[in-house]
Amino acid sequence: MRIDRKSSAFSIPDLIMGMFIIAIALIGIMYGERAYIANADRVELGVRGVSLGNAVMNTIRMHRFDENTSSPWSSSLGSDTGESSSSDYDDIDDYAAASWDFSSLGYTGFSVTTRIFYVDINTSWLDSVGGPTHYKRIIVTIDHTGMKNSLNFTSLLASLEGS
Amino acid sequence: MMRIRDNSGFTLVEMLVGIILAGILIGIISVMVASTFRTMSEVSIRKKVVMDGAAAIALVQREVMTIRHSDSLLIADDDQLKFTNTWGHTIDYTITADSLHRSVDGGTAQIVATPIASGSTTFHYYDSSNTELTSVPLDASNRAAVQLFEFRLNMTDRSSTIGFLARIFPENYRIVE
Repeated sequence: MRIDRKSSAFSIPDLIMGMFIIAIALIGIMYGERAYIANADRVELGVRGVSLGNAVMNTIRMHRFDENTSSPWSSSLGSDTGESSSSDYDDIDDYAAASWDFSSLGYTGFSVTTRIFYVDINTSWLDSVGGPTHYKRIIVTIDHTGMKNSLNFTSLLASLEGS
Repeated sequence: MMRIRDNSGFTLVEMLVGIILAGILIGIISVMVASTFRTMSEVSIRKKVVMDGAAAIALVQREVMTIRHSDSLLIADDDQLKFTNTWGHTIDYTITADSLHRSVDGGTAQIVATPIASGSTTFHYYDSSNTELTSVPLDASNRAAVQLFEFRLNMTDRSSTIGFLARIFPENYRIVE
């Protein structure tokens, strides 16, 4: 009987191929892990951004429609004479260009911008129409470098004289 | 019988090199796999904490919106908010060492959110000029002046704090019946 065993061990190319496959698998796992973490971060920022946006919107909405208590309403929007900080704001459009900082409440990295403008409910209820009408639109935008898209919140407020 | 063996097996050096290489490879893989599982676990815990926090914020926001007028606000403290809602039920939120509790009509308190950072999870109250009413628990005149409710919720996972903020303006609150 003749037993002929040429070679039963791995060759160098076998080993290199095996290590290459393992390296590819490891890189794939790392990328998957990174994508999972990034996605979780985005979800967290989005969820927290929603609560922040609602908080800002409610802060604005608690005020009256305009500095003037009856029409004609203010032609220029923004804080009025003598209103230098948010504690002085008494109507919604005072917040038209307000600066917000919620970093002390754990919202580091979030930026909040607010826009408030007149709209015409019949012709242009989304875009600014410039002059005073009985309707004001509030837009709150929440942004963060970790979010893919900014979050927009919008409200339409009518004066009590609105028709 | 003639037995020819071109390759009679591994030498000792080959075995040692093979074992060392295999050890290094297994070490790297096991560290990476362990790290992946640990990360997945941490992310999963954090996601749960975030979702619990968001749900608690939404619940408080929705219920505080149902306060009808200042007489319905029974206790306004930094760690307790008790009020009667539109349907006449008494809702009581209390903050303890590690949880936010809620009870209805004096019933058993249920945990709404946990674990929380109790020192920084607080209720705040503002009047119509954005001024915080700080003399908590608020007396009747201060409770009547409340225009905006603020709830700062800080949830914790194993390693960090996750902050949430609700500011609630019950639009019918000022209507006197």
